[in-house]
Formats: sequence, structure tokens, C-alpha cells
Amino acid sequence: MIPLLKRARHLLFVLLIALFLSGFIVFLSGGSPRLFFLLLYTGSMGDKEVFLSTLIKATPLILTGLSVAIALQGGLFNIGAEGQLYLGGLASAIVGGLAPLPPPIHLPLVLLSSFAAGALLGFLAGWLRARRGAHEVITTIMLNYIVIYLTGYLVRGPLSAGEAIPKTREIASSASLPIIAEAGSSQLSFGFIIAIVIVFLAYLYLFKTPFGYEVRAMGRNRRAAQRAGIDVGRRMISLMALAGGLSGLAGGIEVAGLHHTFYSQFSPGYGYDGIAVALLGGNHPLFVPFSALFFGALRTADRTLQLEGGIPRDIVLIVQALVIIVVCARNWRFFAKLIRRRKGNEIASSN
Amino acid sequence: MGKVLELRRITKKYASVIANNEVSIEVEAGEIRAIIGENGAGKTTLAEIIYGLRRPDSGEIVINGKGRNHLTPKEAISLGIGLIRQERMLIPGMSVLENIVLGAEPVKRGGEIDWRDAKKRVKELLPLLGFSLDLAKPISSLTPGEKQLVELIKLLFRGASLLILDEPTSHLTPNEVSSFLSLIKRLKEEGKTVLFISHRLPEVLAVASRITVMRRGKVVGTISREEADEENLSHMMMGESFLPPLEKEEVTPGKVVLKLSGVTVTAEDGRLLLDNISLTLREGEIVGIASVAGNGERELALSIAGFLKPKAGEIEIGNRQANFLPPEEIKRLGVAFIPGERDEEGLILDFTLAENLILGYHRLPPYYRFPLLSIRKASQQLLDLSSRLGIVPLDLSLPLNLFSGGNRERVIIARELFHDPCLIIAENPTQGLDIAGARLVRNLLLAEQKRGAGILLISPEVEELIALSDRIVVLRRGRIVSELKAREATPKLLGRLMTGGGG
Repeated sequence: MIPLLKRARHLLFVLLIALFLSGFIVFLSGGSPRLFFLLLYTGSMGDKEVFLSTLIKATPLILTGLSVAIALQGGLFNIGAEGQLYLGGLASAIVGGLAPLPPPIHLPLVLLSSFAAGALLGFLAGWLRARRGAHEVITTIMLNYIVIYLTGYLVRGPLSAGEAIPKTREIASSASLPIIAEAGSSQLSFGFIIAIVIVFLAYLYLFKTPFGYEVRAMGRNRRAAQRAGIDVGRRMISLMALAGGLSGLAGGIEVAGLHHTFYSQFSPGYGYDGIAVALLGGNHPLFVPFSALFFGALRTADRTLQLEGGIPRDIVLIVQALVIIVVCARNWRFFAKLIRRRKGNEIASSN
Repeated sequence: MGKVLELRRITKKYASVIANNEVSIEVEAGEIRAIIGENGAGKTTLAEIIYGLRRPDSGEIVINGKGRNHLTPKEAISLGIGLIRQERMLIPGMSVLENIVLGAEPVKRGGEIDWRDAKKRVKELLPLLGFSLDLAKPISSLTPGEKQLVELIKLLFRGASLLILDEPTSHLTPNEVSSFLSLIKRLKEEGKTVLFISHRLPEVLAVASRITVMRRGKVVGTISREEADEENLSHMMMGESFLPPLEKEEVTPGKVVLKLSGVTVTAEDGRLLLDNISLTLREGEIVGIASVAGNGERELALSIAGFLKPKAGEIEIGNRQANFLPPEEIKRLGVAFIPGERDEEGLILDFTLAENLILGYHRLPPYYRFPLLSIRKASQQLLDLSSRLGIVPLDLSLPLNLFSGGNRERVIIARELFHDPCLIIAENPTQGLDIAGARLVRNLLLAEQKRGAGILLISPEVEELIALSDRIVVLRRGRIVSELKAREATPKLLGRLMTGGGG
């Protein structure tokens, strides 16, 4: 395992390079890179309202990021986080809409139902992979479409609240997550704390339990894991179910903590962004929240960029893409060398 | 003749380990230079530095008179350096010809690969090797010896004149070894320079003109073939350490631990892999399986360990019917399996030494205390275990891909033997080990026998089978063709039985 400090340095480095390149792109398109960086900062953490908004957006990203990361630790590619999030969101909206129950029962039930719904989808993909050999990339992508359109139909038809917007009825107040901080229009729910706790649980699972050990073994050398007597098929199924559950919970927290209802086109791509979050976090649970925070900040800053800087909000998509490219182009050492050399030159010329 | 290669004070460290410590070597054109040393002496690192796969921390590489700090593989190839690594670098699904030209394809003007030219040039090389080979065959259908030849032709196709061969015979059967060695001599006559990296003294003595001995990252000395014999070389390799004698004792066999009756295994295409095998193994008994590679010995091991399900027949382990038990339950019965393909089946190279030492036993105390894994608490035990097998470097937190091949084999042996198995299936347990390491492992197997374990020993080395086994079973085409007492066996007799040769 790479030491944590080294990983942290790597993460920071990747971010700096990606930001630098994005600044360059802003410059090329005629904007001011200085303004861009300034607005990126003020737009995501300049005041309490936007900072809370960043945390709100980071919450589902932490969970979908973890979902993708733990699956990848086991050598499985969970592209299905988006669909799992939708189904989790729908399940919690249904359970949350039941007649008011005592909050200590109702709320956990809502969150559990979202986890279970996501886990069901993950289980299905895992089962298809382990027992039928259908690749999880294909099945999870297909399941995404099925779930997104199915839930879209349901909120227009059988589960519709009967309003113009296709959505479910509001959930009962006993099913809502308490708000822990608010400023202006931003209300951060207890869901953020849950996500952070789950980060540590995921870390313990992967690195401190025999299950996690087996998952990591399977992800690094499936044949050797099998020869060591690990039931690889069963591990795959349970891992995908767990990954699906985490994404489902992301949907549940969105409903119980933020929207209080489930509507069609519910997620702005939190599931897919989870892939980027995991990638930037090096598939390590402890780095996922930082990476999620970064992407959450980008998503929050895009409005300010557009309104105050006249920089098209699509620039954040470019930054996101650049981050992914820089992470994937493992050869970031090249950049490091470049910088070191330049530093060397500076020192030499200043002498 | 001039020097083709000169290494000056090459030093390379990995984390805390010094793999090469101020290594200086001079190689003359047209010689066969052997570089020998025990596992982990730094031979492979040196080869990788010469070929440009690794960058030395300090030192100078002088090639044809021109010095530099380091090379890239591209430069190395253009300078006529070729490397055969310990691990195979062929693509099994592609043909012999495709593999040979890969990366150096002759191209027609339109950008299309010129297969006709490629074929012509490869065919010109074949007689040089005194060898014929169907170029259209897929690599997967070749014998280990043929694969090694393809690797060699690959280098010659790229115009290599300095050939670095890193443990080139470790995958070969005894017959293939001798023809491979004569091939190397022929290459020398063609004017090639060869760096022959090995720890097998007889082979080194058969081909080398000069021999450089390495120990713990340093060059101990270089002597000419005339001065060298097995004794002084092994002394140089091992330093003051002495070779303990093989401790084979008479052990009275106990209860039956393994019983196969009429076991038949077929491949998916219906081919018979194991044909009606019946076999008994008792506590405190070593039964050797002698066969030419690919005659069912692998399938025998895999079906006992539960990875292959027999079509007919019964397997009993202890007194339990084990035919249909999954591998993890068979393991729980106390069956240790030392698989033949070390890196692919036995180890997880991205895991640390500690994580590899508990693989498959990670749900047992002391490594597991519900609900958490506690490797750290068992670390003293794991350290003792590693040092007993002489694993270097002795650092539990180092990832296994930093260990040399011989040390990786020791990790598997350490893990499988020290969890008190009642049945051990050992597939080629001394592969890639140096003399001392092989002796150590053999003595450990004998100690396990004395403790009362039943051992099924599968080995391509007939001498090893004869030295360790009580009985030897000869397999040919998935069938038991003969069974004899080890005392009555000779390498010659076994060879004849294995190949089915008459007389």
C-alpha cells in the first residue's frame, strides 16, 4: 500500500495541474484566469452559504465515490451508481411518504430502504457477473437506463403527487433528516455526518476486516485469491451489493435530507461523478471525501462563474475532465520533473 | 577482443534494500559470461539496469566505449542488447511469427505489415539455431522449451549481439535444458556475447567462459572456467554459510490421509486429462509424481485441491468424501497447496509480504480476531517465519513485487508449511531456488513428513523425487503407468517410464 502521505501529495498535485490547465483554457478562450480562480474560490467557499452548498453537493458524491472505489478495490467497475442512487431515492420517498411514524423508527427505515434498494441492483449485477459471466460494466449501464426511465414513469403515473412536476408526495417530517447548519438557502442535513461516518466504516471494512482483505486480494490477483480458498463468486456478489447499497443510500439522503421528495431526472449525474471522485481519491476511502469536496465545490461555483465572471459554467465540466485525464495519465512524474527543472533553473539564474 | 560492456560502480536501492552495491563488471565481446548468486543477490536488477528497465542510483554503464548514467530500453535495443526475462514475455494467443516481430514489425510503404519479409528474415535465423518451428502455430501450443526459443529468436530478429539471459532454464525440463545450453554455445560461435544469469552451477559450468559471483548485491569475484568448480563457486556464492545435509529418515506411515479411487477428469472438449487414477497416501509418507510436464500432474493436484471436479471416481481426504467439496472447505480439512505458477496462483504481488504470508489463512487466529484482521499483532510470528526461510529483505510492509523470484517461492512455502497441514500438495516446490534454498525447503518437507503430514510431491526434477519420496508414481497421458519404491528408482529408469521409451 502506498503510504497515505504520498497519496495526499499526489492528490494535491493532480488538482493543481488540472486547475493550472483549466486556467490556461480560460485564458485561451479570452477570459481572465485570475478572475476564474478567484470566482472558483469565492463561489464555492467564499461565504457560509456557498460553503454549505459545497458540502451539500459533496454528500452524495462521497457515497457514490465510495461505492465506485470499494468495487474497484475488488476489481469490479460499478458504473451503476447513478441507477442505484435513483432507486434508493425512490425507495426512501415511498417509505418516507408512509403515514407519520415515530422519527427514531421512521428515519432509519427510510435510509435502510434506500440502501436495500441500491443493494438489490448491485446484487443483481454482481450475481450476473459471478454466476452468468455477464460483465458488470455492461449490466450496470443497462440497469441505469432501466431504473432511470422506470422511476420516471412511476412518478408520472402510479406514484405521482398529482402536480405539474412529475414527483412523489412529500415525505413525512418524521422521515426527514435533521438540519445541522444553515445559511441563506443552504441547509446542510445530518446526512453529511452519516456520509463521513461511512467513510471510516468503508476504510475499516477494506483494510481491517477479512472481507476487505479478500476483496482486495480478489481485485489484485483473482486467480491467486481463488487458489487461496476465497470464494471469489460470492465475494463479487456481496461486494457489488455493498457498493450498490452505498449509492442507494446517497439517493436516500438526497430525499430525506434535501429534496423531501423524489422527482424525475433526480440526480445531476452524482452517480457518474462518483467514478471521477473515486479515481481522484485513488480508490482509497479516506481520500474520497476530499475528492468529493473538490467536485462538490466545482458544482457549486459554476453559477458564480457564469453570473459574475461571464465564464460559461461548462468550464467546470472541462476542469472535471482535465482532472480525470491528469489522474489517468499516470505519468504525472513528467510534470513533477518539469517543475523541478524549472525550479532548478530559477535557482541557477538567481545566483 | 574489445570490451562490449563495462559496468562501473553501479548502485541501486529499493526502499531500504540495496539490490546492487557498487557493482563493477567488464564483459568481453564474444564471451559467455555467467553471473551467478543466490536468490536475491541482485542479478535480475543488474540485468534490468543493463537493458534500461531500471535506472541505477549511481554508477556508469559503458557500452562499446561510450559511457552513460543509464539507458532506456529503446537505446539498449538499438545498441544491440537483448534481454530474456525470468517471466515469459510472449502473447499466448498470437502465432510464433507474430510474437517474434511484435514491436519491430517490418512495414511496407503503405504502413501495412510486411509479413512476407518478416517470414523470410525469421526463416534465415532458424538454421542458425539449428531448429525448425512452425511459424503459424499459436504460442499456447508450444512446449516450454520451444517458447524459450521463440524468446531467443525474438532477440536475434532485433539484431541483438549482447544477449542477457535471466534464469533462462528455470521453466525447462532436463532434456530441453541440455539442448538450450548447446544452442547458447552455438550463438557464441556466431559471435554473440552472452550474459548467462543463473544459480544452477552445472549449467553455468557447462557453458560459461568466465563466471562472476554476486552475493547480497556485491560482486564477490570473477574467475575463469578453468579455475571454477562447483565447490569453490558455491563457497563464493554462500560465503561462510554451510549446506546442511538432507535429513531423510525412515518414517512409519500412519493413517490414510488421501485416497483416490478411479478418479477420471476430462477437459471441456472431452479429452481425458486423468484416466482412472487410484492412489493412497498415508500420514508420514511422501509420494512423488513423476511425469513429463503436461501429462496430468497439474490436473491431479488441482482435483485434489478441489479446483477440478472429477467426472468419475472418488477422492477421500482424511476420511471425508471430498469429491464435491469446494476448495475453501478442502483447505479447511488441512490441505496445503503449493501451486506451480508462483506469481499467478500463489501470490498477490501488490500485497505486502505480511499480507501474502497470511493469504488463505487470514480467517484463522492469530491473524483474525472477530471482527477484525490483526496482522500487526501477529507480526513477530510472521517475522520469525520469514527469517526461518531466509526471506530477504526481512520487511513485512514491503510489497512483494520488490522481492526476487526465489524469495517469492519461499513466501509460498513458508505460508503453506507453517499452518500444520495434514496433507501437502507440492507442485515444483523448489523452482527458482538456489542450492541452499532448495536444500532448506527439502528439509522442511522432510520435517513435515516426520511430523506426520502426507505429502504429494510433483516435481520435474527426478533427482529431487528420488531423494525425497518414499514411493514414486509415474504418470503418462493422465494414467498411472508405474509405481515403484524410491529406493529402487534411478533417474534413467524414471526417464524411460515417463516417456514410455522401450528397453
